[in-house]
Amino acid sequence: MGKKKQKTTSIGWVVALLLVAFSAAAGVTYYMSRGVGKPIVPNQSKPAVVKPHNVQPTPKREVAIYLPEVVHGAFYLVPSTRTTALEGDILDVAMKVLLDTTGESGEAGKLIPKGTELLSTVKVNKGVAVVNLSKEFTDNFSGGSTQESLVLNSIAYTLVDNSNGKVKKVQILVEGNAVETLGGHFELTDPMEPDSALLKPDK
Amino acid sequence: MKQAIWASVTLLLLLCAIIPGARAETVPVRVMIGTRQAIVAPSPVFNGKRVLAPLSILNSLEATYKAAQGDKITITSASGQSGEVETVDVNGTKMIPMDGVISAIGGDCLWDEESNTLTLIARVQSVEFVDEVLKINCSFPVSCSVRNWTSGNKIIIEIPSAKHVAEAQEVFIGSPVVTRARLGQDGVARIVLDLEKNVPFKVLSQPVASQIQIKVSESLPKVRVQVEKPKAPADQPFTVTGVEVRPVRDQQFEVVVHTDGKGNVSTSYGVDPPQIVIKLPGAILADSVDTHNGSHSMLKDLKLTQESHSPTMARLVMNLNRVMVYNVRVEEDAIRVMVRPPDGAGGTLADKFIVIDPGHGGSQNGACNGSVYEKDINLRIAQELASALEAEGARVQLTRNGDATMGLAVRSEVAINKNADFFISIHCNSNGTKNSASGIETYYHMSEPSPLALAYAVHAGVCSATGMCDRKARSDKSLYNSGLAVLRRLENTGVPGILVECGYINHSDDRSRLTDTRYRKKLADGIVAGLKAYVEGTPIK
Ligand SMILES: [Zn+2]
Repeated sequence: MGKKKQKTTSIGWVVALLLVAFSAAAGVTYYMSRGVGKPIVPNQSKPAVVKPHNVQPTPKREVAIYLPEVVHGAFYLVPSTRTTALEGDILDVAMKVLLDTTGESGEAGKLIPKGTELLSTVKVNKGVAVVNLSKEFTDNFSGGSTQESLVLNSIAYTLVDNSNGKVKKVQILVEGNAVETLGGHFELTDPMEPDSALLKPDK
Repeated sequence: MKQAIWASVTLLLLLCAIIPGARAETVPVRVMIGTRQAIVAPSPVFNGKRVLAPLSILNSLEATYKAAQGDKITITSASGQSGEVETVDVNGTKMIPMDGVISAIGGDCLWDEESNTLTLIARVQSVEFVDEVLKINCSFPVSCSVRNWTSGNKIIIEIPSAKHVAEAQEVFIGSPVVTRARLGQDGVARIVLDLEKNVPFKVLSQPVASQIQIKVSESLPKVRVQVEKPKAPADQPFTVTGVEVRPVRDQQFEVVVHTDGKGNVSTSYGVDPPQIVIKLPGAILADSVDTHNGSHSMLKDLKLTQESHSPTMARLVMNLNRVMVYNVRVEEDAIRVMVRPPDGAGGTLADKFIVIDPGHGGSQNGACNGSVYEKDINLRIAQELASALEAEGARVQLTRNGDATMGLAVRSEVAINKNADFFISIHCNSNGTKNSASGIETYYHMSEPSPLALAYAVHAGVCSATGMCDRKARSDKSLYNSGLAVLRRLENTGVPGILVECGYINHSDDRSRLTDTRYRKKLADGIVAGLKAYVEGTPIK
């Protein structure tokens, strides 16, 4: 823009420049008087979020746990939202809710080896959640590669999903120690990442 | 200060445009409110000095006006900023200068002489957080994008056609969930909310609004962590101009699909009969396309067809004389498919040394059903397979030939240390519910071509010999992110390995077969047929 200008009258240019200078100055003054420098502050008369009653009733919270489903002979893990009154860290709660599914009806109730307990609180370090399970986890497991894959991915998905992005991988310990494997097919020596191939595709 | 310079430059530019046009001719122009065109009648005009628009444009800016002294009106924006503007009569319609309007309510004007377009950029006037709602007040309606960055505990708001009052600024909020808001500018006005922890959000305002409202609260439904699935790229159309077969070696050839741009490919693979199918989504075949250019002894025939149901989907089918492996390279002007025999193929099965790994053992029972243990059946099948292979003249070694406890790593090491040609691990499967799944699966590691070819061949052999339910040859990545331990150990060793799940021990039909010698003999014969197809190139059936 402004390229079309012919240099015809020098007086015109002087006038124009004066005009520009004046307008610019006026513009600056105008901006300064209003916008610039005006502090942006949160509304302090209404302080944000104070829940006065959060001590009284037992808080119910929701956790998502991943459970197996068999559809026409194909295996999937499906998220299931559970409400719980358990207190404590969300990852511990989610693990406890998952371990507690033993005995429920269907494929889901036969996922976690009987008697498996969470021995200590789930610790997260650099995106790796460390889960310490009791010896029943390996002692009472009697499945094939399909079942082993479902158990391990269910734990990994449950921790990743409830961590709000904090957990990327999961390291499973048994009685505080790293173990080679759960059922003789997959290695547990390194932290594992859940794999999307087991999630039920959206219809 | 930069703000002031920007403002003056804008004004300067506007005035430069004004000066040469002493003759008051008006031309219709476009006024863009951010990225949306302001729809008003009559059209806004450029009178040689400035852009004028009818008063109704104020509706689109969510501003109101009332009469002031003389020809002037007072304009007030949705956020409460106001100023006076003089009205001008243009061909009988009362119009207002847009630079004046923007000065009054806040913002900037960008004039593009080439396209006769005036773009209005909104000003972000203030940011506040009240009762769990973030309010962003702008001088006129804008659209924005909001996303959350879960791993960083942040919510990021971007307004493409707006500017902040200052270059960069921090706003302390200090609520239990939102620590602060950081305002920044780089092409878009950006507001980053730093959160104490990851908290769900919901946009309450309309898609285009002068006050953007975003609720940030733990009471909102939790946003589930989505496992991202890679999106298939859009099928860009491209033309196939020719197909050529180039012999590389005795047993190796390359099929070159010439294209006029970068193409798209998906492949499917078969061993019974041996076949490689290259699907070309987006492909249009040129009229003159020649597919009879070159040949190779390993290639039975090659067909290139346009899919009848889609004018932009073509399919290249290569029928092969034996089980082969392939790799595909997509270049700017060609798709190259290199086809060769898999690792360890050639010669006869009698020349080969095969390590057979009966899964589990000793203290590790594997899957069990009552008194039926996977470790025992695995050993029986392995022994049956060993005799069948020895009958073919092949050399065989078992990783265990009794009920011994073995680690996972040592199993593959037997094959690696003894320089085996193949590694075959034998297992039986099981799941939670009895009688809910049945059949055979054959696993290869990740997507390695030779193990994939071996798995396909053996799986086809086994299914055909036993008539069991075909649960497919699959990648072990479909079970576990790092794959099956015994197969993973064979990575980069040149020993193709597979793991056969010979049936479901917790399914009564499969179990009665697995415990029957005749079934185990069929299984062994099926594995041998697959190996022969892979090594010798014989048909599977
Ligand atoms: Zn097994």
